[in-house]
Amino acid sequence: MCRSSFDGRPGADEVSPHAEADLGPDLAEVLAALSRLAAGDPTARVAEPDGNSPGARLRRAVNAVADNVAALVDTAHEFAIGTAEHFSVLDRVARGDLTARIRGESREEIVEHLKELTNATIEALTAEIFSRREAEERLAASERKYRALFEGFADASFVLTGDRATNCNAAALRLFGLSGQPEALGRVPGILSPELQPDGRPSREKSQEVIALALARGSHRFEWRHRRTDGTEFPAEVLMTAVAAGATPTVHAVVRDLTREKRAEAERRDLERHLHQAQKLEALGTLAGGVAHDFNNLLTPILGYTEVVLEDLPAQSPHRVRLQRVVHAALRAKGIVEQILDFGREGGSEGQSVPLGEAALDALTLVRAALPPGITVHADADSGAGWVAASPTQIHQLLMNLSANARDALRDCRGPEIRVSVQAVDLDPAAAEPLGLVPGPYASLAVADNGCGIPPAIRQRVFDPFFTTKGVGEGSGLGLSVVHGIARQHLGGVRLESRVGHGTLVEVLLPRVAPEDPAG
Amino acid sequence: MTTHVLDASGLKCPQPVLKLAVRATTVPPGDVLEVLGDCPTFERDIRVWCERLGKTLLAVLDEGGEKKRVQILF
Repeated sequence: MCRSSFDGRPGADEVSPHAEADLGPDLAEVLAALSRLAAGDPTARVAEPDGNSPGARLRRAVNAVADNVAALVDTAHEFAIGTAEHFSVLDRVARGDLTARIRGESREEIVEHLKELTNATIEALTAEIFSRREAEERLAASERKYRALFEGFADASFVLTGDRATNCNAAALRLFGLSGQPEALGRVPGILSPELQPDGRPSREKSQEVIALALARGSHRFEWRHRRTDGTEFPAEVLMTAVAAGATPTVHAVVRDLTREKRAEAERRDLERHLHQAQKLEALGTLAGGVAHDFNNLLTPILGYTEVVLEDLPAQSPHRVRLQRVVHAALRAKGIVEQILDFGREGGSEGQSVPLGEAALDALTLVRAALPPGITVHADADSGAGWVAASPTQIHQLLMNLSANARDALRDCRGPEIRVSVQAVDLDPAAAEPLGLVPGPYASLAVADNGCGIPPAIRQRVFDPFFTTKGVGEGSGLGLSVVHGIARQHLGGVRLESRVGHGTLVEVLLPRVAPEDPAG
Repeated sequence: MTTHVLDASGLKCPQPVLKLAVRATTVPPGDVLEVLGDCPTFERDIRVWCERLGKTLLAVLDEGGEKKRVQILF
């Protein structure tokens, strides 16, 4: 509460009207002015009369005091308003408003200087903050750019600090089957590898060596056996490059899955081997054909002269039986020679056609004789199966090859059976398409056994030339490929059904043709 | 909009304006601060402060005697 007295003592301003009257009008007016000054009103003044009377001097003294008080109050106000504005502006800056500045002008020099100093400090602070923000934004942009490059890289990439993975990209997560960064980070390269590398050395130990090499040389490229989180392994090529990033040795590792390349390389080697084998067989065929031809020429005089001598011999001559044996042996040799010549011959069925049912039954008579006695053979040949554009030899070969496979599948089988069936079939588009055939009328020759069956894994390869599951010297791997070849030669196809432990059915489908004119 | 009150009665100028400076930092924009004072230069000081800091002086109400109530919009 404002005090109304000028001396601060309670009741001191309570001057009695009698006393004021005693003091005269000068003193009463002076007391009133002093009371206002004491209450905080710096404008209080008294009239100043001329002269040098005690009353006039008192009035001048009071006004002088009032001037001083007014000046002091004015100064105090200047400082107070300046301080209040500084307080407000600094509070706004502290809250992050860098646009706040001291605007007011003061008559007090120090307040004006303080204003300049404060505003300059805010300016400097603002510049520093903006400069840091810009640097941070540049750093963030650089980080985003680096991250985008790293993430967009098609090959799996890791950053290894020391021997630990500290960063990896999406391709790395995919390649290794990792669910996310936290799982990948910190995994030493050895953990994403089998315990041992193909050379028998521990992965963990070897990984230290390749990292050291990359750091020493700047970069190092090598092949590595990796392991996914599901346990599957894969061959990879790794390029490690040393990175200058701080005091801890850091390398960037790019992992490329070599599975396809390795498979392609294996297939190429396989193909080369097959080609080599085919060339060998071709040479063998040519050689055999040549030898057979010469051999045939040699057999002709042997047979001819033996038959001439036989004709001249008396009927009771003991030599007759011996010479007949020579003829028999020579005829057998001729038969073998014919087979060798057949082997070297290509095609050979142009213009020929046979009724499939009859041809198959004829061939079966020979094939049955070559089968072990324990195997039961059932034949079901429909005479209405129709004619096909093939030679009897080819039908014989089809049946022989299929029966040989059936026989081998029936080893160690209880109650072994082979079923041969011939029938006419009409293929609709749905049935023809999977076999790559044109829909239409076909004749089917099927050979089924109740043997061991063909595992699904190798079912696709059984028609490949030289593919065999039989031991060395037991099979050439040509049986089914020849069957397939004969079928394709006549625009036909081969269908395979097999169940492991239950048996296999191979069906050869040949287009039906018009029967040959018996007179022709 | 909330009205806040600062009683600076009995304080001699420039004490009220210094109290107002401190209190002003806690008043959100849009609110009103009422300041009471009875010093003869109270009104003048409040007017100068409002002008310096860009606040709107809504009203100066005479409460009787020397006492005044000023309303400031933040």
